[in-house]
Amino acid sequence: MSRETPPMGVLATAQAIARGEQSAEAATRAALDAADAHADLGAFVELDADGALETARAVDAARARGEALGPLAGVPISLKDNIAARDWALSAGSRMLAGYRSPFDATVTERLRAAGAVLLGRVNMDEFGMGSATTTGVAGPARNPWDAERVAGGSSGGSAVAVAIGAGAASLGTDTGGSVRLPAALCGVVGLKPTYGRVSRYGVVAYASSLEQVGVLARDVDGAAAVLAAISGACPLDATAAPLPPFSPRSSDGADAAGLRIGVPEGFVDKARAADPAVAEAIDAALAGLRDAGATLVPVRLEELDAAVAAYYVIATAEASTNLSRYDGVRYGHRTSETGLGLGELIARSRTESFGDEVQRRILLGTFALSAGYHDAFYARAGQVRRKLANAVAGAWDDCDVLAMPTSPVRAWRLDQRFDDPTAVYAMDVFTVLANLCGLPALSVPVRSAGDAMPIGLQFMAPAFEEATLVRAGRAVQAWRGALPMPTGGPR
Amino acid sequence: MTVHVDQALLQHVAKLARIEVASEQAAATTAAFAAMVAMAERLADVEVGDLEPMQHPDHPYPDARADEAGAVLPPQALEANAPRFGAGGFVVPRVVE
Repeated sequence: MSRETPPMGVLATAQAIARGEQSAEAATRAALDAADAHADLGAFVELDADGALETARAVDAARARGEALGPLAGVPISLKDNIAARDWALSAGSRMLAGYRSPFDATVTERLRAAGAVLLGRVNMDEFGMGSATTTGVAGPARNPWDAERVAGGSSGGSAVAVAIGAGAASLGTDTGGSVRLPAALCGVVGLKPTYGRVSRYGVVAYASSLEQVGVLARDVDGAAAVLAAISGACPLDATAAPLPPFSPRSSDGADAAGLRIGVPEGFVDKARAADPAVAEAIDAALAGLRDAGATLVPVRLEELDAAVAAYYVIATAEASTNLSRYDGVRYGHRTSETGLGLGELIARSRTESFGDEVQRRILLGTFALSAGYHDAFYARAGQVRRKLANAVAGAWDDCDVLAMPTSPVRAWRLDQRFDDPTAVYAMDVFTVLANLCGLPALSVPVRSAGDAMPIGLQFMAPAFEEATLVRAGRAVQAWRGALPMPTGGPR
Repeated sequence: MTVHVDQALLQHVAKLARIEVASEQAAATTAAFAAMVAMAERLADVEVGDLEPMQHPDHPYPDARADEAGAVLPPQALEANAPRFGAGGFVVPRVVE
């Protein structure tokens, strides 16, 4: 699946359409063609070709009339299948929501429409966002565009694959413990998780409410920033959306690494080295490149990284067990067709029939952590560990502007690799959960791989609402790295 | 705190969670659940003193808006997603004989 010319990013597409160098319809057809050509990768759950082309033609007509265009006018963008779009099905990757069609737009969807974006369709995900590989959803796995026998990462794997193959310039995902950044890293695209509260969660299927944010996957850092600018800002329908104006990238920051203080937590890269030396080599090389470009590398001490994974999984599953309690076959979701059951049996049967194994496991852990006799030792203690981690990260900002670490400890693993112990997969989130626990923004940027072509991501974290600093750091990586090739596709 | 995870604990938690664990799956599910609990037990190794548990990120939250009804979806939009709808309302399972 090689291409000589990579598909255009968000800004290039918007500019080409605004200048009349390309029609929105042509950009949309190219994205739809890419989706069709690589349907075997499982990126899309459903394409809305007719709706997308109708929107694109409306953009072209508006331009022909000389009307002002929105900042994303004509830019093809896909939505993770847990973000509501009016009249589209919405499954969150679960049998539980089979047949459901959303009667309303999520706030982010509404804002994309207002910005002129062309909504392509729904992309694949792990069931309710619970997974690190996009293998637990009802639509089957998303496959890595660099090697179709390997995972795409998760849970927003469909978003990452769609962007990597040029089926849209960007995609909205959600990130509860790394679900935007991890697939971005494994598929070689940019993944931006905003600060908690930066983006409204209204209309997003809830998994873990104190951790998750809508994020952006795009071909480059400025493309992700442009989409974030369009979807962010206060929202009267979400009481956790911060009362702040929308994000605005600081163009004055440029791509200059000079003066950027990059905190490098001790032991983090070595942890990746033990899991996959190629990841550590790539991160070391990128950090050395940024240092040579004028950045200062600052050693930072952050302990209890392993406990972060435990704290995350206790808190996330506890919140999931309550959020998903609404799916009882009565108020929401699939209802068993069996008759003659008592109410309790009907609820349990409906849930067991339609939740997948991983979702059931996580509900069990979350219910356990909240139950009498275990609450203090697990849920409350996880909150204390979360506080300790947040305090430690807050202390680091005295000495650095961003923290840098691998996004994933390993490159994409094989789809047929079996994990009998679910916690072996949870360990893949070791570098990403910290930003969610602390509510901080984080960015994964592809870096050069010295080994095979499988992508590797460098992750930056920044203080709350400092996404502009992430954009600056990401631009610096891109300037050092140069252009990357397109995916080769197929088995290696 | 070390938790002894066995099928009895699993079935107790499953009942609370309104999940059915079939007997043929009980051994495998118990093993996976035990691994997850063992992971969570690592929290006990962290010195936390009397830190206040963090339940939400410490960011600015908006003031509560006025308690006024806003626009709502028309009944037809909601009816379309109901498993059963009749006589102007959602038809739910009988809970009182």
